[in-house]
Amino acid sequence: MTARSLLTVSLVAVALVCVGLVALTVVARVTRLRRARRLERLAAPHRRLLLEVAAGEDDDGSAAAALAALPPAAWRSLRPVAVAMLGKVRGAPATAIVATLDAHGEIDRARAALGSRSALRRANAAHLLGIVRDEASGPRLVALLDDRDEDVRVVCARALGRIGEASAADALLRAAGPRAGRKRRRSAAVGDAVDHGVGPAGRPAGIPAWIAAEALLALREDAADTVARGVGAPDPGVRAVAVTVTTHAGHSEAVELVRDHLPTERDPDVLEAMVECLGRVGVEADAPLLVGLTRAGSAPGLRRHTVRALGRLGGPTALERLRELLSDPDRATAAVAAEALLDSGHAGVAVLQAERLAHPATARAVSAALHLAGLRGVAAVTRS
Amino acid sequence: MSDELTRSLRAAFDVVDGPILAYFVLINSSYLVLILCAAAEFARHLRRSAHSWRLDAVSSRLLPGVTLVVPAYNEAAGIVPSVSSMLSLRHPRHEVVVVDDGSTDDTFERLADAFSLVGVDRVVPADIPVEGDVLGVYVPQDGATRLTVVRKQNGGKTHAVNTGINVAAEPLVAVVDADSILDPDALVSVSAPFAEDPVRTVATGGVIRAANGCRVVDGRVVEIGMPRDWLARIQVVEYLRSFLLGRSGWSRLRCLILISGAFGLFRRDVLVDIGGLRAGSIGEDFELVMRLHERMTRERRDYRIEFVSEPIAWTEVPTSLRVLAAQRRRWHRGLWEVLWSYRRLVGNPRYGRIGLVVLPWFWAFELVAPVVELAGVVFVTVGLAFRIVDPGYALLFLTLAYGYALLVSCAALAIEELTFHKYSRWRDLGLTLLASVAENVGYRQLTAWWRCQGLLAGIRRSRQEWGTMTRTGFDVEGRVDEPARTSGTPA
Amino acid sequence: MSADPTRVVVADDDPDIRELVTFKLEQAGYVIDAVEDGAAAWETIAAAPPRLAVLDVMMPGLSGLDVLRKLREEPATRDVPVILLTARSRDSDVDGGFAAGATDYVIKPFSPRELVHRVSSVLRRP
Repeated sequence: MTARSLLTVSLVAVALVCVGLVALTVVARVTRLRRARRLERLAAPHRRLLLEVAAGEDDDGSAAAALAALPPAAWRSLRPVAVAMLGKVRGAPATAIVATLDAHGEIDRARAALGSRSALRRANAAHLLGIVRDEASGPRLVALLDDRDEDVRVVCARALGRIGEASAADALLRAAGPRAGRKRRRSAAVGDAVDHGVGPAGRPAGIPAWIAAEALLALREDAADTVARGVGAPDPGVRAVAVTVTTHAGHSEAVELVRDHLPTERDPDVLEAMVECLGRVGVEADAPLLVGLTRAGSAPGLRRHTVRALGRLGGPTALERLRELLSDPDRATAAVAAEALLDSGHAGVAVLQAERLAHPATARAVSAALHLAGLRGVAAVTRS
Repeated sequence: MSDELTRSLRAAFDVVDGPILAYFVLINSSYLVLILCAAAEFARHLRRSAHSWRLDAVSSRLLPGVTLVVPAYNEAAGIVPSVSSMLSLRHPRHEVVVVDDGSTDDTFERLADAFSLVGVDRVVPADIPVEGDVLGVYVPQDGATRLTVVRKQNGGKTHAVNTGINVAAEPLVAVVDADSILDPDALVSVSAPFAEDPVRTVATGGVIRAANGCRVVDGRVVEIGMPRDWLARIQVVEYLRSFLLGRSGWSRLRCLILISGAFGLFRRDVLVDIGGLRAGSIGEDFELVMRLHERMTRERRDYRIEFVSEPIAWTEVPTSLRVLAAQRRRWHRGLWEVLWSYRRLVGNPRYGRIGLVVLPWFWAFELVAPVVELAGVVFVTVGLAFRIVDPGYALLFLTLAYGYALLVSCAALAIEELTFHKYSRWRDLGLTLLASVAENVGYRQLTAWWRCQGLLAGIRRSRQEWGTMTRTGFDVEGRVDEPARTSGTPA
Repeated sequence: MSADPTRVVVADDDPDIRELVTFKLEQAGYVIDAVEDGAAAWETIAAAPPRLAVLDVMMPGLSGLDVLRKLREEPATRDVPVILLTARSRDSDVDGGFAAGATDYVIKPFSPRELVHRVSSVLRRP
């Protein structure tokens, strides 16, 4: 190619592509605005019906009937609002909106789409089935916790949490388990429709611990047995989830197991979760279990964490240990100990006051905490 | 004009004419590839938004808490609305820590007044060693608002941020400039990767856009528009192309090495572990992410650093040439320093794509780019004057260097329109197009010149350092007249 | 006090919820002033104290809690009952809401019927 023709070709190519891109931008905008206007025009007359249903003002069911009878085009324009409303209201209005969705075949379509080849459609379907709390889809959603697409797995976990049946607990906990090197396996429930196994390169299968814990906590029925088993599971990921759920749900059997396992726990994340758990749902008698973790050799994060947990527990053992920590060489730990004493209420504040008189050396952390006590004064008194 | 001079010029021209054109084709094509990667990332993001549970995230009991660390130096004008809007971001558990870095104006007094601050004698843990004494720790009198203000002696931004990290009580730390304006959902979105993958995610960064021209009420952008003056308009296009699409592209390729100091979120324990921001570094946010990559790789950890394209931080961009020049010099000097101090990673297969692709790319197409660009412009101009360069070649140069660059900008604008379409007025769309044309006339050449100056300053500095082998702080950089501290280089 | 004994200010930045609450309370016979952020809520309430305010907690700019605290500081608005409407459901959040002076607390997703009952029961109190 000669220099001249090179110039011509590149000049023309660049100019053409630029013009093409600008045209694309303009066309995209025009189409988008038109579509939005059209949807709004279609939705506007029926919004009031939806409001009546969502507000529970539709006593005779006429608005719901009118919504159910909407032609498909009008319904499509209203659908996003209806789905959004479902996340915002509960009680009878929510049930009525679900019935409307069902009348338009949305639920059946979503059930069918769980077997779609497109991961996006599977995820959207699972999302909708979760929102409408479709109990019948429970087993299929459980099977999809092994889906090859990460988004689908996460959406299914959330949907199962929303549906709330305890039968999903085992699967949810297991899905949070060992992540790398998960073997290909097939689930009987879905059969050949879905290709199970490890995710695409670098993306191990399974669901994030946080999602699993959140879903387990959302379960309507009691998942205590499963959670208790999880506390003793071999995989640290599963243990962390089980302990976190225990912290927030307070199943007594599981708390007992946390007590049993704490002295032998090696994984730092699980250990921290266990400390948090006992700090929140433990009793005064648990303090000796935690005191050991406040020794100078512990990792600083875990140590401070434990100090705070002791403050929440209260009781003579905890208070005595916190008093000792006021003169800890690590001033930051001492300060945390002082605040922990403050958190433990009147008995803790009494310790602080006695300490201020007895040991001027620890004065700074102590007086700072007492100052805070003064600030929080009203709130602290009303709460205790 | 001597024949000898002409001859040697002609000889030189014969050597470099091809490479210069090839360089521009490569640099612009690589931008285009990045932007297409970003488009794929956006498409994925938008598809997912149909099944995301934002309301759930807000009511979640388990979403990790976030501490927003806000270093402030002479920010009296905007600090109170900024802090109020940060306190009211949507998130189930977040607190704000403002570190007043020895301001000489009434930054602190305004905060104290607005939030009824009272001093508490709290010990700030020295998890990260910090220079400059803490003068006092203050909390609101109601004991409920989750705000802490730390006053310290002036010691530079890095020390202020590190102090904030020390004070932070939550497991995640967001470093936010005092003049950044965050969208209400910014925190929930940018912390989503931590929730989705708590074990591996160590840092996430958010989009920075130019706030000029937008209507801001109570520390929140309520109406998006294009700025009035051309300098800012051009920067809007530049930010869109580089900060939004460039970084999303790198993130898509799983090799993001730059998170802007104006809005980044990090695991606190990891920050403490690596010693926080490095004092005395000019591109301190870039340096931090590089250090994260290096440390994580050395410890053989499976980790993720992600860019979240949706949440938005807005920042005021410079509207005077002087301030813009200072900003670009500083950015490029920071770029040089970081690239130079991490030169051992270049080509090292152990660092994977970072060592084999991203860093070489940054050396070749970020660091050196302004030098080649200026050289090309000078060369073609001189060549035309001496009649060595024929007009055809000059035109080809313009086409490949600037025409192609315009094409890249047009692609960026098209993708913005197809995905987030934040600029709703037709007039604004026209203005962004005009600005992307105008950018090529003067603006690019000026910034190239400033960047060269920054590069030179950086190289000089490094020379001195080799002499003494110490990294004494050079926090002498004046910060008063540099409004946009959004660090980093484009891409 | 306000001239209109049925006037209620509703503040929520989510248009769906704003519209829904407005509709429901209007059906129940109240006169509604709906606003979309905290600053507007504060201005509307301070300008003419209503019988009651329903505030979303997480609004941009001034949050519902900020508005509540400001209301409690001003003599003119100190006694306006406030119902907080929020997705924050943790005990500490609820405690914080009541500590700031909330009269009642409704968690999203909410039942519109229940909200009306709470509004009327707050207004029945002496």
